[in-house]
Amino acid sequence: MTDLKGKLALVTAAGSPIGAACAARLADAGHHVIAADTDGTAAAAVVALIRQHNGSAEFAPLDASDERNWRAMAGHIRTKYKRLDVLVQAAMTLLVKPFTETTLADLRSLARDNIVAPWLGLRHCAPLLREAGNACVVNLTSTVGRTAHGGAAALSATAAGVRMMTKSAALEWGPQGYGVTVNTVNVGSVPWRPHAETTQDDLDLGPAIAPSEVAEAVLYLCSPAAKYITGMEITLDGGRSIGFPG
Amino acid sequence: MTALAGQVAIVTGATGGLGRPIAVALAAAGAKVVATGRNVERGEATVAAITVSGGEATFLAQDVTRDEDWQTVIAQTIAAFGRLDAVINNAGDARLAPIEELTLQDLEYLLDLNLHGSFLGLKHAFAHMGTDGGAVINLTALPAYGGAVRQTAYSAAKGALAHLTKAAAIAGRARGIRVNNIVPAVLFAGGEVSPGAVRVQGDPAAAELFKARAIAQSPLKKLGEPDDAARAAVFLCSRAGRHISGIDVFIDGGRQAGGN
Repeated sequence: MTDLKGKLALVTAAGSPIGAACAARLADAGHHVIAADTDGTAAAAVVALIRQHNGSAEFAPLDASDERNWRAMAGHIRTKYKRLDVLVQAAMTLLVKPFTETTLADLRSLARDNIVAPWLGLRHCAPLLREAGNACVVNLTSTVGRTAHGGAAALSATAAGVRMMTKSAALEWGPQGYGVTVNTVNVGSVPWRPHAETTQDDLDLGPAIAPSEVAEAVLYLCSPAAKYITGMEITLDGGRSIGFPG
Repeated sequence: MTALAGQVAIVTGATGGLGRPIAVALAAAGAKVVATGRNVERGEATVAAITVSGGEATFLAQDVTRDEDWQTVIAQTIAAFGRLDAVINNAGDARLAPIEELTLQDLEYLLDLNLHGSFLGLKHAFAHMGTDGGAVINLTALPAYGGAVRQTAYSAAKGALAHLTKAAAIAGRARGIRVNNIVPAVLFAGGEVSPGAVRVQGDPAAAELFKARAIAQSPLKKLGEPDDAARAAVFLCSRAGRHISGIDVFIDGGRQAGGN
């Protein structure tokens, strides 16, 4: 078993712009970061960058929508560290398509990436988070789960699903006395994945948000300052999804 | 900490309750703080708590329901510090009773203090914040988001305030003025309590019962502390909150997430 000086954080989609920013910020704040991604090259680059800044990080391959992958990941963490202090799930697949052109396969694929993946993360990391004492989970999703967007029915549905799944986990885990907080960060216009077929540019979600700003919100939710906050949502979109801006 | 270095913040109701810890936390993060309220002695105690640790603060007597008082506070703030970056509309009150016992005067009092006072704070903030924009924080409560026993008047006042925040957030977008709600429930530390607990002050047995019930109702099975709300205010005013507007920051151990 490896003794950690700081806390242990697992960041999924760590090779994506948001995942990379969260990984770097958590490492900067003293966490040892497991940078998980299917894209080994991008995540390895994040690990290298963190080490260059004297931070501590390792790469771990993870297809977050596959349960066997999560079992292996949880097993790896249990064997090496025994606990998990921070889980940040930063994957999000966008799809902008008219409703009548959206196929069942599209919806299934989006649900797999956006709901099943973070559900598996919660499901398999739960025992490790309890082990940590004051652990926290932050699930990232799109603001279209708050305010529906024409041409993004499947996306809106899956993003809204993340919000309620997160609140339910908060309600279930709090009373068990392990002190695990579970929160959502809804993000507006941000590059989830570079080179993706659908990008945030296909949606009008407000001002461009820098991945580093998402990371600041995540770090706040993982800090002692937010220890009484659970089942809550921070929305980062400059106020775009509030109501009826005209 | 320097998250708020160079900022100037007004905190209303900074004479006690959550106002004092919020004022102290903003000052500790580098802001110059104008603490306002009706009780001079308690307001000066807040200023002393800030200056003793090297912070900068001043107290101004203010009744937030009076427009003239707001004009004076804003003028003196600009005169003393040259700018305005944040207004924390913390002053407020609760009156809890069955609707049969509440009077129209009770409702008008709660609307005045919780809604009209914060509305004036918003109006003056919008009038005097510079080209850099700024942050306004309104303090709401869980009854603003759903019904609660003995809280018809309080729900109405805080519910209206919660939505005033959202409308103001839209109005502020073009100017970089961000408007958010902080929703504390239930926060205890020493003798300071949240509005719902005021009625049990001075009655140790009732206070214990109130605390036990609040813990039971909280999904985290514990009480929060005033400092949890104070640090949320620092976060919202800081650069990290630059794209956050119109949201409700629930400091409630998960109560609003749902019921079971």
